[in-house]
Amino acid sequence: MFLTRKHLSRRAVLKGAGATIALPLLDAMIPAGTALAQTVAASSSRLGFVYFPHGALQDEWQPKQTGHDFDFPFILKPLEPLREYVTVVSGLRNKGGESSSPHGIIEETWLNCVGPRQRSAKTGVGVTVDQIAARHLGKETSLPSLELCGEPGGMISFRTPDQPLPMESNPRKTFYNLFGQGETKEERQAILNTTSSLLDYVREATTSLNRTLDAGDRARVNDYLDSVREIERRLEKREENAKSLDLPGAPLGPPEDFGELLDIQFTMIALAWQTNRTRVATIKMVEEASMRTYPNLGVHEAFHPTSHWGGFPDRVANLRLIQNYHTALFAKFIQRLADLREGSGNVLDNSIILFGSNMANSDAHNNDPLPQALIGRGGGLKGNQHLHYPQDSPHANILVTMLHRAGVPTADIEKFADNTGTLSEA
Amino acid sequence: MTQRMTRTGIATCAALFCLVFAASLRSEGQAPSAASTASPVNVQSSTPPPVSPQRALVDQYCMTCHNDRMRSGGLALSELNLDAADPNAEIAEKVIRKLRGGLMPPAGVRRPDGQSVAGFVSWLENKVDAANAHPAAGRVPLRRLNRREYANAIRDLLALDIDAKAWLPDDNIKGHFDNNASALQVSPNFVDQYINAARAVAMEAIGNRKAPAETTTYGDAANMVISLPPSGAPGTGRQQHHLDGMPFGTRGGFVVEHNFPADGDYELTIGDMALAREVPRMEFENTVIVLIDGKELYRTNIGGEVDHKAIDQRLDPAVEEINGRLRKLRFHAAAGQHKLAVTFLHRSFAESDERTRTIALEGGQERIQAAHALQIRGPLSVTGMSQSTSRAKIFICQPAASRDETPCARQIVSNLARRAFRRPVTDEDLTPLMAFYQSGSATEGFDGGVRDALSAILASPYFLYRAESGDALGGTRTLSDLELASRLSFFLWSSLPDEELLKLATESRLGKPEVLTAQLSRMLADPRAKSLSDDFAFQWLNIAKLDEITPDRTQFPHASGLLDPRGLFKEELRLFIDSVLRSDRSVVELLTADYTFLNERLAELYGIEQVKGSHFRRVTLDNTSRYGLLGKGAILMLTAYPNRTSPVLRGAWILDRLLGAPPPEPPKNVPSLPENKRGEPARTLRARLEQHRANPTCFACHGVMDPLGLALENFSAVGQFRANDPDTLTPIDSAGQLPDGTPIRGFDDLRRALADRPDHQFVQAFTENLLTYALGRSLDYRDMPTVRRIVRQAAADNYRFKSIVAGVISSDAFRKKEVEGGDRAPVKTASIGGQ
Repeated sequence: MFLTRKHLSRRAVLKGAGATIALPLLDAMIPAGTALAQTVAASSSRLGFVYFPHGALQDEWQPKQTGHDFDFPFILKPLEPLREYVTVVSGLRNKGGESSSPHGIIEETWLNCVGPRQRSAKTGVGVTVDQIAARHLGKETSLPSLELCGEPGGMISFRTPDQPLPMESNPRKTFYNLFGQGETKEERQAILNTTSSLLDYVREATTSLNRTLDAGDRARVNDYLDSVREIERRLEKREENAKSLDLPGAPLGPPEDFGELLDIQFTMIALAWQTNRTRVATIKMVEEASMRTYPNLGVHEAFHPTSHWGGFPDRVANLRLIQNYHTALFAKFIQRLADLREGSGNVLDNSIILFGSNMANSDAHNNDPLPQALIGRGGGLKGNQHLHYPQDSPHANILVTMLHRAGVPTADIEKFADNTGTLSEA
Repeated sequence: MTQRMTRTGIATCAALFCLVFAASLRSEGQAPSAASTASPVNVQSSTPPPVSPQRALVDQYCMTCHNDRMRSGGLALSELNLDAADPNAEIAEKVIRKLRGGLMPPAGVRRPDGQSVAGFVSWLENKVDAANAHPAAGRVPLRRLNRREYANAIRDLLALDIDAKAWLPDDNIKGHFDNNASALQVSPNFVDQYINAARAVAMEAIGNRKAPAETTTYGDAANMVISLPPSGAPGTGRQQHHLDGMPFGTRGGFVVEHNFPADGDYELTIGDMALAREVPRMEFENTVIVLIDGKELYRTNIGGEVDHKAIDQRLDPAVEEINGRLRKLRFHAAAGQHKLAVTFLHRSFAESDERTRTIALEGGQERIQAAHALQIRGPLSVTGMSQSTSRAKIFICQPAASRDETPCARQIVSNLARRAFRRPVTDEDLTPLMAFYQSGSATEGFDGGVRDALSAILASPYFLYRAESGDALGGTRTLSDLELASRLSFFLWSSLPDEELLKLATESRLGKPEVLTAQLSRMLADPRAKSLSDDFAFQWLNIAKLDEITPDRTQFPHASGLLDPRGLFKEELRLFIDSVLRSDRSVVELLTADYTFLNERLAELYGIEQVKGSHFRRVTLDNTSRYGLLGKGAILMLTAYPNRTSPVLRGAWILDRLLGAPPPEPPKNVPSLPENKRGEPARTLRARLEQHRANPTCFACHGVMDPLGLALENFSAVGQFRANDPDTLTPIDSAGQLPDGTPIRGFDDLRRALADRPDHQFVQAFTENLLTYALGRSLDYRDMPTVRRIVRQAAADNYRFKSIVAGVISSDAFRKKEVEGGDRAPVKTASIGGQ
């Protein structure tokens, strides 16, 4: 699991429990029948956006057949056991992301389908769909949305046209953000207790101070006291939550192994969804034009040059391995969600996750047709289908479809980028 | 019923004017006798009283617009009560401000000559001052420490440097300053963050034997993968030069201050320097050196023939091996804050690493090795807890045996509380704090107990709030010595009063004039007074705006991206202002001083030769173009756009910040500046601003602003001197006219005109801002007599900064406080810098 102070090696846990583990730790987090489990059941759709760079080799990504029960090509193979939740979408084009120097703008245009120059604070054009979703789905959660990455740098989410959101690469910080300071459950409780005592002291000291002040100043101190009381209220809520949750210890920081890091980051999303800290999450798995090598796959050439495979059969071989690997890491996350019970089903039944890239052919640096897949059965998605749309179908349509299925009001999505409506599943 | 007085003798224009004039004389005129008698009745038998020159001036030049009917700008000068002994001060101050700024009468309209205006302003000021010989002290509401003051307080209390920006929310700015009491609000989030910060600071100060092996990344995390500079980051370029603060004989590098929670083993990882596939930076040997607090910890080599070949031939495994020399370097460190630096041995560039300069200057990858990020992990094993500087400040005693612990703790807590609360502490204060000690020490021993008590002190409202006691009876009271000590230290140091101030205040000696004078000298000489330059002056001049302006890459390839000069400009300005304010000089020298502070890079930008090396040193200037504030890159840049100059911005800034007379907001729907189009003959900026001149509505304000800005047109948007307009390539015409008609030929004339004004408006604007900052509240018209008095008194001493400060701290506004329930009703007037 995480590298906590007890140095519980994750591999040790896996070895002990067998290979098909769905993380016993997570099962222990919300014992069935607790209040929180019921709350989670009542919530509606979650939206996830998982990005990988450098597209995908088309003939290894796009299924040969359309409709149901298609054959999974090599890059998508790791998702085959979860076939019922997979909707491959092909034929989309993102005109807004097209540019002669694609690596510069490609991340920024995946979720808003407009080039940087069209982003405008005046018109609001340029806000990404995850943030549009967050405005609605994030109203009742403590975090409107979560943005994570496997490699730092670059930007995908824009809360406002001028404001890209930072993506957190350190799982420890993410953990603290979601669940508060403290290494272990005991420490978290201890910190809550100390904070509680500090607030008591502050309230009393402020009341003493108040007695020495004049009328005008007393009014200002009352503002302060109101804020203190509000924090006390929030603290009580946090304490209730903490008692019912059996959270693991905080991760110490990003682990060495890249696969492990991505695993932990994905687990953060799963935890955040399970505890209803947020309902919208965006993660960028690998940096655009990344120079990472994949020694565990035997690939010693960096990812970016490998993605320029034209005329190099070795590179093609390496690239398909890398792309399959990324899908495998993603598939672990999906399996976790499928194993998290929720109401009469699981978390994946109530979620829609977009898994894709804003580039199609990495050798040609084009954006059409984009590799995209919708995972999950939230919003009535049927699953187990490959939907192929005619040439030049706007990528914006799939984004708008996700928003629509998640219950975002039509008025907020009809004018989004160059969309021509939602995609039909027929 | 009005009489038409045909014999006015002065007014030439409207009947309206006559109406007003007549109205004011109504009481003195005589109605014709109703009863007619045989003797001829002389209707005009009384002579109207002589019209004062001041009234005549107002009637002639102002009444056309500011009469009762038109009320231009909401102002009717009839309400001024010019002839009364006590003119309406609120209106009078508005009039004075506009006249001093030259904004009224509007440009293009007939106006009196400079001397007459000055005379009138003096007269009016004296009248107002005479009628308000004891201006009300005003009331500074309860205020909290702002983020800056909090960080300084922690520094002085605990010898700990914290990154306040990372832990605490932004403060609101009101007027020009971030210490305005009414703007410093609180919110639940604010309380939350301050409480978290209290705990975290206490933990860092005392150390933590049980700290986990956490990883902290400094610099952009992306740079750990490959040490490329963050794009657009100012001043990170030029890694081939010696960086200030690094040992001599090194070049470039990266330095961080890290807090080590306990004595123990730690691990350092430096950002990768070798890349698969890219070998240009591996051609030459670069010796990497790691230093802790200036002492060498480790050195290794990256690059050179062997490494270069290895990468070429073996690719990734070779890269891993080379980068491995930079990863997981183990070292032992003692508890506390230490400086960790990574740098390179400076070797000869006779074989240059730079490629031949192409036309487009590179702003991206450097070809030499660089360090822009590092990670520290630990403690991996804890070996003890030595006495860091913070611990030394906290633990003023050590318990010899366990029965000594509580009394020693009480001593420690009393000491900290006294310093933090800025007053002697009582049992009422100590009891709850010692309760924290008891609960903390029960689980975590002596250190843990002290730490918990310290968290409480830092979370306490007595620390966070600067409260001045309110007498329930109302009225005005003189501040106590302890309250005065805080006001002084937050004014001059932006921090807590030190031991000496507290002692004098506790003994009630601080208020004595000779003691106060001595303390003033001592405080100004203390390095903490640099806050006057960094905090007061930088806010007065709005230097923070520089952070918003990223110089345009196409226009200024040599002064943007890695070569961004903003850091250099700020350092120069900081040193310059500090030297003028704290070396017993007149504040006017801020405008006229013939020296500045430069290092080699900055001198290059200014076109000054013979300055070598990276450290800043004082340089006497041969060329007058760089004299004073108006010649400093920081100011020239913040008053321009990223890609071009703007005489309007510069003019408005001068009016607002240097003359205290901000121009009004522009009307809505003003079209943007016409650009030079391709194919058409280019026009200079002055020509393109033509519309300001042609349209009288525009000219009313722009006629005042534009000449000020145009006088500085020889300075580009990145503060460099240029003789020609960049579009037309013809020599720049920077001549113009000041509002009072004085012709100016360029920046020298402008500087002299501002500095040599007989009404010393620059000094007054400076003093207004200083008083605002010192008090922590906005000024209004009732404070202006205080401002003028301070200026007058300082005149005798040639406006030396110390005299102005002395004037400020001896004013009623500084020494006294109106208590709510007193005579003064709150007034809603524009504050300084607002409109």
